[in-house]
Amino acid sequence: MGKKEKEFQIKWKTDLPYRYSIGKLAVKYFEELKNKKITGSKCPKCGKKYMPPRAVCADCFVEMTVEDMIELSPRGTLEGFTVVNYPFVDPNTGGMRPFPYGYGIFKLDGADTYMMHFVDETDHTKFKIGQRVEAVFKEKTEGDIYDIPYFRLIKEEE
Amino acid sequence: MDKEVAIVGCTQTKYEAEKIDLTISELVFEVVKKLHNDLGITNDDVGCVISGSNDFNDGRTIANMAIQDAVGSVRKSESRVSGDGAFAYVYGAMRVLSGEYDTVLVVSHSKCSEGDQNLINNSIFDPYYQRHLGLDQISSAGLMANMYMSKYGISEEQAAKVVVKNRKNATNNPYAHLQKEVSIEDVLNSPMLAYPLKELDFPPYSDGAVAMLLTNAENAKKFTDTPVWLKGYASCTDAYYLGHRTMTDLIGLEFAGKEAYKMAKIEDPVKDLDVAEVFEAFSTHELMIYEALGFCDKGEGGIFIDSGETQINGSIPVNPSGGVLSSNVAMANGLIRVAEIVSQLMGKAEDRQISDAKTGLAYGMNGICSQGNCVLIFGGE
Repeated sequence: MGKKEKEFQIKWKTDLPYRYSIGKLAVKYFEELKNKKITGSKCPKCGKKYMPPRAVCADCFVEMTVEDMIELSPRGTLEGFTVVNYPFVDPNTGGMRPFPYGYGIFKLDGADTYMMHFVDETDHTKFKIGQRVEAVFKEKTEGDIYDIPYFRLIKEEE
Repeated sequence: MDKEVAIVGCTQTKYEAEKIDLTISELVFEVVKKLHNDLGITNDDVGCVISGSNDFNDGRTIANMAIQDAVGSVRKSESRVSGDGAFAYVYGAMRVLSGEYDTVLVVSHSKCSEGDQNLINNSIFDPYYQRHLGLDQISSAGLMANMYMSKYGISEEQAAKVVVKNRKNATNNPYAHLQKEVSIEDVLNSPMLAYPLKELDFPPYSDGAVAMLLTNAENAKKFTDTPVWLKGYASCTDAYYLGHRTMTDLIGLEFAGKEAYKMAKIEDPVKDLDVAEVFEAFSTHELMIYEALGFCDKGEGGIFIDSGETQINGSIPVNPSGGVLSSNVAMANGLIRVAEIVSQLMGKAEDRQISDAKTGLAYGMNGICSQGNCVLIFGGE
């Protein structure tokens, strides 16, 4: 700590906990995730399929309930990617997230919107737009966001 | 609209990485006091105060309370926009249009140095599906850039040209944070942050503040011979989820641009506008902005930067101030764009002056990758 920092700054490390309500749709989403199934919402009016599930169709302003949730394929097609190569504090752990890591944006088969997730590849030359990807589930799922730790690039579709 | 809301004076601080010896209040007081001095007014001459800031950035809730004394709003009509400063300008303009206030002070500020910008940006994302997966403004920009560049065949060199242009322009702007020119090679050889974007494709984080005084047609000439008038405004918000947007085109900005052009009677933006100041959050973002604002056709942002038309001597100079790539004051960026357009239209932009600038566009933005968009068109006397 330099002299100027010492004189002019006060440090404050805030622990500001929240208990966010996640809503009925996310409850259902995580329940299904535990069964190794990915779900989304289908608008009862226009039929647009959202991933993740949403309570209102932005195009129609129509309500979408748990009844409107549908199962989506764990496979999809890559539309874009990045390889993150800088350190930053992981909000989950408070520690530094290891880097580099791959990140993909893709449409699951049957979905009309994109989703983003980690991809198990850190060499950007190995990614190709249009490539197939697949969700990798933890062996023992717990019904939370980490049940899918990452997606994998499918080398050759079985 | 024509000659109903005027800006009669603007002040800016020098933008810097860390103004360690100034509190937020002292930082804001610097621009407000300078504005008073420039216009020869006192706080009693200010009818209403609107500020633009963000609680997460300021590290306290209802953060405007911390600058009340510095903006002279204690026991005065005051309100605040939690978002980009361009929206604070809009709120201020509406207070003038209400007819209740002859003068409105609009202020925006940030000290990016005081918080952890990656954590603050991560908190934009919903806490159920996205926040845990480490997204922030840099990784999102990488995804957007990759999709845009792949779809339209934009090269990394074309992206780098935006940085080279803006950083060169910044050397003519005494307020700019980064005032060192960079070459295409410098950009291409800078460390990869989020493929395909490198360190120099991104802006720095800056501390600073901006202030301006708004008034009506009746009073404008009391303050200056060269008031700047609001001619058109529109805003548009795109979907919250990145994955629910188009990603290769800035649809929200496109909509806001069209509506603002209609209001300002702009038919051909390249011909009718003399200068534009836009909130470019990363290099390829500026190319996407050219397309969304109709400066060129869809997918031609790369060809357009190659053409040199957005250079300071081109047909539509973009960011003669050096833009956000040179000074990135989160939440104040949009109001800084307005202040720069005002300087241009008043003919006071000194070394960065576009000759004979009569009509200008300012674009402010909220959220990740152009979620909330505010387009403002101004005209000089």
